[in-house]
Amino acid sequence: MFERFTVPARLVVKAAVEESQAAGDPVIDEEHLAYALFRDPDGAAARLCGGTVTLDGLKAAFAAANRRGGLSDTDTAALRELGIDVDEVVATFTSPLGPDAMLPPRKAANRHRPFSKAAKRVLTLALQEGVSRRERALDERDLLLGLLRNKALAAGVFEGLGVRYTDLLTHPA
Amino acid sequence: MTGATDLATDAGDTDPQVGLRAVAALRRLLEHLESAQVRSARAKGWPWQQIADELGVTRQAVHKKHGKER
Repeated sequence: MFERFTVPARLVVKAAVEESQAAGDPVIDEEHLAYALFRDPDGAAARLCGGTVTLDGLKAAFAAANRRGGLSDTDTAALRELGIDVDEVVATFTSPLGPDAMLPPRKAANRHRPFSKAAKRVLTLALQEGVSRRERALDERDLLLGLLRNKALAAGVFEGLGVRYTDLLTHPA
Repeated sequence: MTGATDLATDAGDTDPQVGLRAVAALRRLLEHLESAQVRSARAKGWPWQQIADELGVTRQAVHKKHGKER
């Protein structure tokens, strides 16, 4: 699969693996791909988002979401309109379990670390983005579009930071 | 932050998008809550069979889904 990636896109995937290892997370997930894309404050992803997204901002948003059952501010707002207070649900559910109950157990750096289902879908969608624009290889922009199109946690986090798939599509590459 | 109603209005089609997005978010929340509860039960020494009984699934199903996490 990765033979279709440009060199910068391959480096992003490699950096995502490092991000997951450094955090001791059990899988390589959407958030690690997002951190990898925005590691360089002058990188392609940061430029595409017009400087509104920073690595620190992303990490804070994902950390909050992970403590809240994997829901972004955007998801939480959507559920609030239906009368569901996610923070209250999570607090009630996990208060007997301790404050870190919603976080996955840490995993040693050298253990096998697979891509999560969501991260696999992001890579597949990124490939489709490349194919649909008849690009010869998948680049960082396609990876970012894949994250936004997946409509899982990352898309909600980016939406909360003002970045949407449709806006980015019209942005000159 | 943009409310779900604004998002749906932007897309031009209100009800299905709000509802579907809420269902997807709830499903994600459910998975996280299930993982947290199963981890807690295992830490308290519950056998897989007892966890499976409470969740209303087979022991194999719960072990396959959560057994790797440790």
